[in-house]
Amino acid sequence: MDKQLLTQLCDEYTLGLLEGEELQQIERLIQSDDPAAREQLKKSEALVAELVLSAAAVAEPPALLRSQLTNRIGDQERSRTAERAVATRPRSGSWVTGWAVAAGLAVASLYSFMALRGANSELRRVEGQLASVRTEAARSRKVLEVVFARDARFIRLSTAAPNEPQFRAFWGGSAGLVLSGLDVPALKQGRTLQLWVVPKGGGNPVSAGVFAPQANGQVLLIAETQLQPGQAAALAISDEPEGGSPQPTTKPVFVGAMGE
Amino acid sequence: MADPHWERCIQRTARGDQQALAELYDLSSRLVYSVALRIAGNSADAEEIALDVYSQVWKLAKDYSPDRGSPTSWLVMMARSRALDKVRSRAARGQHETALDMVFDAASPGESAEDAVLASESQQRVRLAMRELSADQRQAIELSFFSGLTHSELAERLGQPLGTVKTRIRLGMIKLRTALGVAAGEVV
Repeated sequence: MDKQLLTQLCDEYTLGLLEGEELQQIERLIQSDDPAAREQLKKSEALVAELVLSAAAVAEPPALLRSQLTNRIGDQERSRTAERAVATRPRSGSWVTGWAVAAGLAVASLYSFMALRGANSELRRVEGQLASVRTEAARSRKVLEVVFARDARFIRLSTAAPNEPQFRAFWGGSAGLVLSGLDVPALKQGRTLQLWVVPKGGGNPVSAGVFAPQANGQVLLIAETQLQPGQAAALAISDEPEGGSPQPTTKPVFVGAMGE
Repeated sequence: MADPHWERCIQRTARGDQQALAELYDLSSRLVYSVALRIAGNSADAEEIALDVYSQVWKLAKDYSPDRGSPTSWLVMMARSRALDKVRSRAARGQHETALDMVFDAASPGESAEDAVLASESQQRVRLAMRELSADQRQAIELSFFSGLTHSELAERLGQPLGTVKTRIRLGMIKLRTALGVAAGEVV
């Protein structure tokens, strides 16, 4: 098979586009461990991964996901250890003695397992709380860093309508950007608020993160932007579909000019 | 992207080091979650997909070989595959149109200002290359990333003849490789 065709088939196989004879053709090559096909497949996967990444808007996973992962892996490992312990238990004596010992061990294991399960569950709960406290402490440190940065600037984001919630931002140059809000009403299902940095000179707004108010109407967003305050003309907040948008799809509700 | 560090994390994970998995998560979770969110279209599914991906990494780290691809490719392809499974499973539960329409509506969103700021140099290079494609080629290729549809399914969804869709994708991929300075068979 010529190189051009192999490249094309590997790209399309990686994308999941192939069917029928073309699919069988490339699968035969892969199954035969053809070195050229193997190498090209690796390159196609690298290209497709780059393409997928380039088209996906950057999104931050929720902080609690990490502790959920740790708990899940911990659970899997504890189950595996328990299974291994049962599988490797030595056999001895007559079959009657063996069964009696096995039955005794099973009952004892059950009690131990239940006790361990209770302890593990408590441990997981405490680990979860600890992870939350650590995350909160890190967020608080970051907020203080920004607010007390020597070059911190204060921006009030407001709307023309009276009695609307207030948003305030502190932007501390390299320390970062923090947005706080009070009395922000709950959002509609499937919607989110998105903070934008409007660059000086009329460029496209740059997303600085998505957020939703807490149940008490409070907002505290540690925003993500690599822009500096001097590069921005204003900050703005718009209502967007869940997950955020690459560019605002609705008119910004709150706007705050940077001033000098 | 710091792939050597990622590789070391995967190697340590393969030896049962849970701390290494946590480090890999810290390095790569934004990437995995972004891909999952882009395909699944909602944060609840994206979280589940990300958890599944790292559970798979925990199980399969011992089978990972740098000879077969970079850690980034490995994680992104795993996230894409899991996310497409999730979309298909939703489809099987009767939410097909919603899931696929979200993918289709979200395709070809144009240049993302956020990405331009936050993306790696390599991603920016790819984005510039994507701009070289015609709108039809870009749409067909992006839909194929995020829908997992075959050539003929894609043709049906786009309402175009099969040959047209195949040609758009093939010419688009050739243009991309040229714009990226990657000839057929060369390393990306």
